[in-house]
Amino acid sequence: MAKTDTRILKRLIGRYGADPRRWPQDAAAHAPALAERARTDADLARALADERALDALLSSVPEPKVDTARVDTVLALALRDIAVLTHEAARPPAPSRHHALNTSPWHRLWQALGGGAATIKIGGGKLGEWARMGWLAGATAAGLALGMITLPQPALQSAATTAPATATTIAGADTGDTLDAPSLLFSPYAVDTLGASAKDARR
Amino acid sequence: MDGDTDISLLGDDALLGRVAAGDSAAFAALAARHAPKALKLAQRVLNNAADADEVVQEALVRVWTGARNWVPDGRARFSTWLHRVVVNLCIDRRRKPVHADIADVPEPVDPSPSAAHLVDRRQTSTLVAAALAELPERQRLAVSLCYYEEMSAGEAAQVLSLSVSAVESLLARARRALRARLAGPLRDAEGA
Repeated sequence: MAKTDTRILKRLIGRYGADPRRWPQDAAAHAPALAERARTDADLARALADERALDALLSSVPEPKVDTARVDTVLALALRDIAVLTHEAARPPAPSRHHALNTSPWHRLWQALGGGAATIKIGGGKLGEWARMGWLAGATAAGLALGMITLPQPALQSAATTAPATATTIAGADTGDTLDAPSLLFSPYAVDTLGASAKDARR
Repeated sequence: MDGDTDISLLGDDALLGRVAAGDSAAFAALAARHAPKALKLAQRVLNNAADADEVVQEALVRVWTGARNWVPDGRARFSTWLHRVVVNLCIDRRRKPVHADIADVPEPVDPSPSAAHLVDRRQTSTLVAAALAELPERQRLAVSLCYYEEMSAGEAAQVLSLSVSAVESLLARARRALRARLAGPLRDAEGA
């Protein structure tokens, strides 16, 4: 029993030091036994002296100086940081990076075609989607019409001035399905012209 | 809540409730109550007053931002939570590479017994501070909390997120290491 007590006492001073006031509350019951046991147990007495000397050395380290001015300064700086945080939280969100960076001509064209139109729900549909599709369909039709107007013109004019035989061929083609752009591109006149050009080249 | 209530008389939980609602006066009262101890703890761990000030400043900002999440259930104490934040910030700071000011570096002390004879109290404290600084991080924290801040092992365990037995083990190992490092001054003390 006495041996166990000594071991407990050694463990306590080895963790918390020689001063029983620093021991945990539930260990306070062992405090009266410490001085008593140290008188008869040389080993415990030596351990107690060692821990007491270590406590004295630890106590020689001065406590950090913390005055009111220092606390006030730290508090003021913390309040400054908090004010910045609060201000940032209240600021409206900046425009998205995607929006800021998409300034290419293609993006502007897409926007003009309704790509950026606000989506408005109408009868379960979305107005933005319809506007975008309408613009795309219109632009495609306009492109085709422009191509058909411009492509045959030089061919007809040159045919009328160069060879009557080919002019009739073109006239026939002209009275036919003039909206068939591939037919115009690969018309008999065009093929003949290509053949004539090849004969000229051989000569 | 009564607007005429003396804020300084309110408990930590009541003040935190006001802080959560954006009351800067309650925040100032709470900070003034706990900042001195937090500064001492940070300075002991970091060995630098300026770094300690920055750590406590950051910890106080976290009090403001985290006040809404505080649940006053009576189990956790605000001071324990604040010390945990301070300790974690100190650990983060110590792990960062720093370029120490030459003025902050203590003079090297010869720990041999013969030299220890010559040192006065100030030099002894420098020697002890150096021995404490050389301890592994968690051992140094355990000594700082239990010995210098006079926390119980249970409180220190909460701050360090460890078990009580782990803190007790750290304390025992720290004291053993300190006894070995300070053998010279300890012999001198016994001989005196």
